[in-house]
Amino acid sequence: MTPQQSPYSLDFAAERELGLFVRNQLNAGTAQLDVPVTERLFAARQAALAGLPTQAGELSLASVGRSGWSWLEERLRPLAMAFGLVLVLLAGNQTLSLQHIESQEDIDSALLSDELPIDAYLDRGFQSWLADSSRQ
Amino acid sequence: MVKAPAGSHPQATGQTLASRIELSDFLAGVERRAFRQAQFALRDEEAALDVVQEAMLKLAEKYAARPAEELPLLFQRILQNAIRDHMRRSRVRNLWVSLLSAFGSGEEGEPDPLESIETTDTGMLPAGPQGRLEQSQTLSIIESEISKLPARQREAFLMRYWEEMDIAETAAAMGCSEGSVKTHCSRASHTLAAALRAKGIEL
Repeated sequence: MTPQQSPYSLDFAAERELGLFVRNQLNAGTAQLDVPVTERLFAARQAALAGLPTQAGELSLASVGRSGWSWLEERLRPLAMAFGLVLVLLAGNQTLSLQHIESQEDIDSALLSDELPIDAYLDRGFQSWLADSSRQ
Repeated sequence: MVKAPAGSHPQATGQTLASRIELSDFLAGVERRAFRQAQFALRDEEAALDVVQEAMLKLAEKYAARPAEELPLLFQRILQNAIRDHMRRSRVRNLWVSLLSAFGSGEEGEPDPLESIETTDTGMLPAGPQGRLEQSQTLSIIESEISKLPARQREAFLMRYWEEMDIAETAAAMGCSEGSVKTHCSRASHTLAAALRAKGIEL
């Protein structure tokens, strides 16, 4: 403030005085806050501090490495899941086709050894094969 | 390990620990005032506590690494934004409530007269030390007058005189010019001074 007195500076002094008065009153008020309120405030502060990203005592290099690794992990997780899914599908497909081949094997071997099971005559494919082969 | 010369950059661990302690100290010092500020604006204890917690979490989450001298400004800014967000949300909620209650039966419209008796009854209590009674009366008058101020005026006034921030800091925290901080402060103090004079309170 300039030393010369103007209406504004007088006003400012009065404002400042009022500000100090209000400040003292309000500070007296906050000193008498209810215990549940101060407990909630304390809990809020603890919660905020618990949310700090790094705990004291961790080495910076180690934490950088760890955070880099966790970043990589986060990025790789969807890829790994997709890869796993593809593996499961391939394996399922493989076992299904193996089962199919096995079931065909029985009929084929029976045909070759000329011990046709009764089921073979019920098979429409067998009928047409029979007709085909007898025509040749 | 070589001892670091005085004035060099502290180790990362020391810095984290220091900023944690600084943040803890800062929050401990400011939390009650922040709660009162939120309460003046929201007039609801629970909402004020929620808002203060939200502001603390945000400060710790985003700005914990900032130097201690920047924390008051950042915290005020976060707090005022949190208060404003809360008011906006509750305004929308109140709109819905009033719309819905307009359709429902208006049975709970009448305020309970017992409630108002309870709050004004403090004068009937057996007087303890006279000074303390007067002080608590003055305080409640001041608090209710501050609560009645327009939001921006209250923010500016409390930041300047309660948080002891200078005009530039207040302007930065409020996101406005220094000129409007001065205007807000001077209007707020005129209103407050007139209200206190009308209630017979001497400074």
